[in-house]
Amino acid sequence: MRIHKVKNYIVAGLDLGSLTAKTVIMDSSARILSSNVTQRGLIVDEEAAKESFKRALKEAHVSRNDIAFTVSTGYGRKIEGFGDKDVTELSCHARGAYYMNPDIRTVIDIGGQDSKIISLENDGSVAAFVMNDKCAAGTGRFIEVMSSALGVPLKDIGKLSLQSKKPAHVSSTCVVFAESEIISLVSKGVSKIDILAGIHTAIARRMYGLIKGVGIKDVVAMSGGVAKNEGVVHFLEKAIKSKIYLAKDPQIIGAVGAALFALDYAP
Amino acid sequence: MSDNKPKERKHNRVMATRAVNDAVEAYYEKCWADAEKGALTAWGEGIAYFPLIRAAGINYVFADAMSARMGARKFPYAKEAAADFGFLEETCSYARFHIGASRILKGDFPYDKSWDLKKIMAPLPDVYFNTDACSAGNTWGELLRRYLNIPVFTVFTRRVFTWGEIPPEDKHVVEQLKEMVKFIEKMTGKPYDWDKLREILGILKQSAAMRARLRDLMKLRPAPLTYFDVLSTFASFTILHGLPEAPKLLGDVVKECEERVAKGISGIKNEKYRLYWLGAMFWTKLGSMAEKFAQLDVTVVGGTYDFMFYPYPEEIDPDKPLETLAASATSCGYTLDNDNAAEIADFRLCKDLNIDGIIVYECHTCRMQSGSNHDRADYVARRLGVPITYVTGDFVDDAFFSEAQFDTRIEGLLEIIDARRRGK
Repeated sequence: MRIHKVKNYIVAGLDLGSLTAKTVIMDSSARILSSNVTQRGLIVDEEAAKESFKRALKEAHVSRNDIAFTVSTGYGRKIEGFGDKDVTELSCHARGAYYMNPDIRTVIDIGGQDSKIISLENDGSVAAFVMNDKCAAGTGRFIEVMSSALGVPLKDIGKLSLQSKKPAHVSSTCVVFAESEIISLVSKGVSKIDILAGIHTAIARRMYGLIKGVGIKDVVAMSGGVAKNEGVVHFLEKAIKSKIYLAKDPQIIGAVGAALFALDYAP
Repeated sequence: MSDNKPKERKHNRVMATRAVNDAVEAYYEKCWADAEKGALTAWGEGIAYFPLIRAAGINYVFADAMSARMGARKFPYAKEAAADFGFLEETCSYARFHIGASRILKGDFPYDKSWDLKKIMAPLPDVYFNTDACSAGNTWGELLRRYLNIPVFTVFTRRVFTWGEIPPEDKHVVEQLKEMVKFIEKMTGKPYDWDKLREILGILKQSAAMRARLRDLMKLRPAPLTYFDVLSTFASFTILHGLPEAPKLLGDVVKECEERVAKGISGIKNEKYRLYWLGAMFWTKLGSMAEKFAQLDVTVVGGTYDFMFYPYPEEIDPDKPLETLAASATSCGYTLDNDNAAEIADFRLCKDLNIDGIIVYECHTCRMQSGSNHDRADYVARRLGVPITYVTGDFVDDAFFSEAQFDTRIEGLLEIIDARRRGK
């Protein structure tokens, strides 16, 4: 971990994921001044990135000219006009999580359209990682589609699934296959609560398979928007037999990591 | 990790490799011209027994290479023709493109006539040879037998083998090759030309020697060429092998690389990382991959795919032709047992190449070429203490490739290497 220069300046970290744009404004003592999460439609484009950046700047009471250095991360990290440098979300999530809790050695990041397991070195850098394949199975987009198919608002599905006494068996985390499986469960009269628990269990099962690719080391943290879903967290904890650390806002961890990298590079 | 600045071209392509493509095009045109004069054309799956067919004066076309060519040229109709025939996307893409080509050539599927088929595919075959490379290959041969009403000869190759040996119980491969010679004699109506076979193996030995020299040159730091340059010459083994122009083309590549070494010219502009590519290759993206890695200051210095066919020139013995061919089939990447493959095909090479990390390529429609790669990479990574990344794609079907995910995985690997270097 680098020691930052003793000088007053402000940096920004932008995490331009597949569904949301996240911005963190940070001062030279690595204090978070503001953060923002913006979602506009189903993909992050230049407009979403601009909006998130603008809102975060406003909240921190600074202007774009006050920013000494910006690092972008996420799938949109190469969108022109934002980052002075780009760093992968693997390194940024690792660093952001380590900043939140230096005991963290494993990060489970379930984002909008992919998922990653990141194993950390003792200094917070990436030791190894695995990612899902290119389809969106078991990711944030999958949960959104399932929530829509069941007609349950996204914000409610986590809590509701925790009420289940008998989670339904959902065998697939493929957006297409699971949707037809759910229609079949509904027609059989299985309750939405049990179906939701089944969906979250299926995600946990899939993630557990990925985790075995790098091994699990405590403390385990979860990042990304899906970490806000209590159901996924609960069933994942059961699957990995370990407590999961959650930051106050797990969705901005990548942007925090990006801002920390920006501190390294700031002139 | 990268600067968001405009990019200048950084892959310094070995110019002599361009001639390989011209030679392949000329070979396909020759196949068409010969066929019009009544010469036999063979298609086939697998590479080990090629010389046996070529020595009999039959124009042989390696099915995978033909599919790769269609993919690289972005010819869309072969894939569509296979889908129209009922082949799911999950089926081997080499097989799909090849079967699709047979439908187009037979006139059973429409295509845009502005495409010159003679430049990208061979004429319909008179015979199909199958080396039992995989289960898809066997089905594929059987389908073509029925669809085109042509004879098929299959050599069953037991796996898994230990490097460089033909165990006594597997002399049956040699016995099958003797049967294959009789089959060929029946097809051509001529006695088999054993002298020609020995001559072809002699040429192949020269080609293998040239490629071994290229592998040695890649051990230099910085390397004067990249693995993508080597793969640009791959057709010397898959299409042109045994033809006199193959060692000449490879010799020109060697010469250019040796001149580069003398002048201090490297394969990419600024070699900072050296990576090993474990697995097959996406042929539709060879050029763009070469540049993509060069932009990241990466020289991909070697890989497994070209290692599968005649990796050691000293093991080609023109005076023992059938034994040489059998040994080639039984000691290629996917007929070897994992320990042997990891130790010989990967570890020793990676150690000599001074690699910083491993890219494991998972080919979506070929489980056989992907299944053991994890174990092999793990074996090498543990012994050399280097990190691994896994990428997904396909031989020729772009539908299974996500550029954004690919970039993240490669850049993530480089960030691990950077972090380790900083920690030292």
